Amino acid sequence: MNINISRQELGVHLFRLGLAVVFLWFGFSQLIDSLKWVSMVPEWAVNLINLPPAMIVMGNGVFEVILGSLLAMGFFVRIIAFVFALHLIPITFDFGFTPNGIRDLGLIIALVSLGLIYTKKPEEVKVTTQV
Amino acid sequence: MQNKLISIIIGAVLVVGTGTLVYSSIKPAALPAEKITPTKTVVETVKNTINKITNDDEEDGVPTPTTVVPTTVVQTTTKTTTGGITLAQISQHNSRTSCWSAVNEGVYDLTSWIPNHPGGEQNILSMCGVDGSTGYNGQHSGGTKPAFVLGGFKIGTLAK
Repeated sequence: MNINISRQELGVHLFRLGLAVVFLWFGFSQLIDSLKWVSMVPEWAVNLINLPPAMIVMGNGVFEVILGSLLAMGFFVRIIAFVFALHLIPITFDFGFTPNGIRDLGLIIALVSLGLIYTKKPEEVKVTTQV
Repeated sequence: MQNKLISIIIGAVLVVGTGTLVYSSIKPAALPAEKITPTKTVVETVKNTINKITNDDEEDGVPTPTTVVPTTVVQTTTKTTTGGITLAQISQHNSRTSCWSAVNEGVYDLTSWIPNHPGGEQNILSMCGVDGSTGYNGQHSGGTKPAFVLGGFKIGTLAK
């Protein structure tokens, strides 16, 4: 087996896999132990969706596992990266300037970055510098 | 094509691996203690049997040697499926392993909620086995989210 992979390509793949793991972990965690996450569901979300918080957690878990799996396997990477970034925006605002909020802000920036740089053919990514 | 296949395989391994890791790292939630109440008939049968043995011994005049054999008490259950649940029944579930509480005419099994309550365990533990309406209404009255959360633990209504 001959695998030719550039350093840049490897970096992008690791970037994608690393972000996928984060969402997969949170998604599975919400599915397996949803009661633990109920307290994190904001009041406005319950009023908006009008569903029990445990069901909102489960729904969010399913969403994150499905999209996280697709991201891990390299399907629709750009779209999923942007969708996850949009998904994290209200969560980040809800956390505010807390450690969790700042972590999610970093994740949003990373996801947008992945959405921008990911291409099916990594050779197309060329950085030119002019001195 | 080959790279895509490898990417899919790595992704699938990652998904399964993460799922397994999360599953094994999360401690399974404590199963709510079985809601059991010994039926009157069982209690009466045991009492009658003991009385009968005692009376027989007295009537014979000669005490018969008896061997005390440890017996396994088989508890039959009467799950409350219809009708209301009384405060007496609720008071039997006043511990961390089995925590029932009455809130605004409803009866709730809060056992699994104890470690997850954002306000701390103590607030829920103080409601175990009693009518917790005052505590709940004082903290959460009118809140949609707490009402939804509480609703998920409902096991019956309070008998009047």
